Amino acid sequence: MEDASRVPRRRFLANLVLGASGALGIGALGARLLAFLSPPAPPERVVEYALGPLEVVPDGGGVVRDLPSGRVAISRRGDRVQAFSAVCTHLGCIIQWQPTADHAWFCPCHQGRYDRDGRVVGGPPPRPLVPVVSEVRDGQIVVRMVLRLPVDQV
Amino acid sequence: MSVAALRRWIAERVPIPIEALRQPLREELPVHLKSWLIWLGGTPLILFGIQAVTGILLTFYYSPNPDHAYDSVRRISTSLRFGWLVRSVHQTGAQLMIVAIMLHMIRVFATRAYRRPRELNWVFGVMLFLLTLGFGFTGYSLLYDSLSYWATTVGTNLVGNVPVVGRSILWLLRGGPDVNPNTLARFYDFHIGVLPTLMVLVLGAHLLLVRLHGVAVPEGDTRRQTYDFFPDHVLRESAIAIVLLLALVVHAMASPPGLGDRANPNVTPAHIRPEWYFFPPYRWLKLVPMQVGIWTSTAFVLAMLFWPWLDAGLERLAPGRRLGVWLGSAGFLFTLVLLLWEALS
Amino acid sequence: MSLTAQKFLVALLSLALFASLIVVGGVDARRQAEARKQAAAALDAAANPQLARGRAAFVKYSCNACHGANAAGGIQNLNAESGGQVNDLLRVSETYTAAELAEKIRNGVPEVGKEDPTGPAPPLRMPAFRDLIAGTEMTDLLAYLMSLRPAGGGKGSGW
Repeated sequence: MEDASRVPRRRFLANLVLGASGALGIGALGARLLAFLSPPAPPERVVEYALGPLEVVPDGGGVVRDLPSGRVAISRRGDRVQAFSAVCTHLGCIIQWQPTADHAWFCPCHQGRYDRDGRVVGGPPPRPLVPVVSEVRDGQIVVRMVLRLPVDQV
Repeated sequence: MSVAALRRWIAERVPIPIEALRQPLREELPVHLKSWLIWLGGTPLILFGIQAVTGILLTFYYSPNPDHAYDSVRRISTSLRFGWLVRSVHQTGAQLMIVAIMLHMIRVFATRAYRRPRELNWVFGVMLFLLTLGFGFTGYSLLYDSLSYWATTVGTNLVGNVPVVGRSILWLLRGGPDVNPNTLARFYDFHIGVLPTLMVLVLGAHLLLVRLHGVAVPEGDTRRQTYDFFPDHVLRESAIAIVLLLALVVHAMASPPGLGDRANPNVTPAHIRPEWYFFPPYRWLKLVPMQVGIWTSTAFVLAMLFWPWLDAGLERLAPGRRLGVWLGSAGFLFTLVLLLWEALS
Repeated sequence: MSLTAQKFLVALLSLALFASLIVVGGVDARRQAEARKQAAAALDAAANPQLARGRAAFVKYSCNACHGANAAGGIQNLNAESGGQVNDLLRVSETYTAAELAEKIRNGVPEVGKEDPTGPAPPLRMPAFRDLIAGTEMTDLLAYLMSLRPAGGGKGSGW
């Protein structure tokens, strides 16, 4: 049994040192293991994509293109284009070009409807389409999007 | 709310008598437990705990699909934060655990602690040893680099040579007539599901028997003093655990885990070998015809399992001659020779 | 050993563990920097659609089966003079022009040099793709090959 005449202060000191260093050791270990469970964010790059001459989008029409950065929905009027992310803001389905009197883009999943400017004109989508920076440069349609490697390819 | 009120709240809902919980802490252990030889028993347990934790962490990122397995291991080793550390500790911990169990077995053998009434505990112990080898084999197969893929293929093919039941066991192991996409998933399941469950059950039985019988007193030790479980023994075990962890962490930094080429089922590398702990049977099977090898290896394992009775029989045969010690030592040395022979060739 | 001494021992060991984990942090930071560079390179390749197409062609025609994943080599070719393995392609941009590479791909390499002249002939040979790879596919493949660079310490360096 422990010596009852042991100096209480020494015992307190020993316990304190033990507790503190134990906490440091376990703390550091825990921190490392938690960091392991939080994968680093994949690197990102803003990338420009050349989609081709203006004619790839019919005048007054719209197309959806699949790019490494994601799918982009482009509509054209004359020599001006408008580009949006083709991902419906409701639950992530891909929209389609469907020109009618009241809307231009249509989502088949829950019948969400957007106009040419990406605003919601019908259905459940909560927000307008996310715009994508686009321009016409020397007759070529150019869009700028963020490219991110898939997490398991990092 | 006072502490006493909290205690009453818990005691009403979880009616365990407090004294029953406090009892183990106040227990007094015989001093022969302080011997470093006896430490060898706790070491595999501590390492198993480390393996369980690092193993579970690895399952967050490992993929048991043949197309993704290799890449997932590569990803863990290179791009994840401290992935190399977790993987290294798990891999080295496995080797250490096998060494620790072997040392523990040698200690129990040398001190003849397997004798009546502890024979059953020895059997459980050998089962734990075999389970640990199983962990090593299934775990190694998960790397899916060319060496591990072929070592696993050869290893399972060997099982197919066992008479009568061989083909059925092989079918079960592979999940079909040959290695297929299911095989890796199956080995993964053995490694993280079946074997851990069996391990915990047998470990529970092993520890229970140790608690019931007490650790066998080495012959000639007549000391009668005792020391406290808490805090003395707990501090000792903590020190051992921290030393092991420290060794594993430092080793991880000194020698980060590597990975061979991706497994290619169409190309067999020139030198395939199992992991070092399978060198003895590997070398043996290269020396003798296949069926002879299978039968003798099985006999060897059975002799290990039922050693206490074998030893008791030998003792009756030639009392005082310690035939058991000679036979057991010879068996161990033979295994060691085979191991070194294979390692050096 | 007295109880106090034991407590201090465990405390000391805990601090040693703590210290080692700090060093671990430093080691990891360096490895992360290296991994991020490789990820950035992969991102570059992904961002360049021609390189992505070229890489797809590399896989499509099973070039990776002999020259290794990412053309990094490592596939065994017994007794080949390129170190008993099929050569990696990480430095082709330094030794060949795109036109010379196209030549090699079209005509193949009928006989691979032996490391040991008395030994067996290496089993793997560069096949002749003739017109199988042509047009934009060939251009993309060549662009991909000419973009390859060896990683930090060279092929197969330790992790």
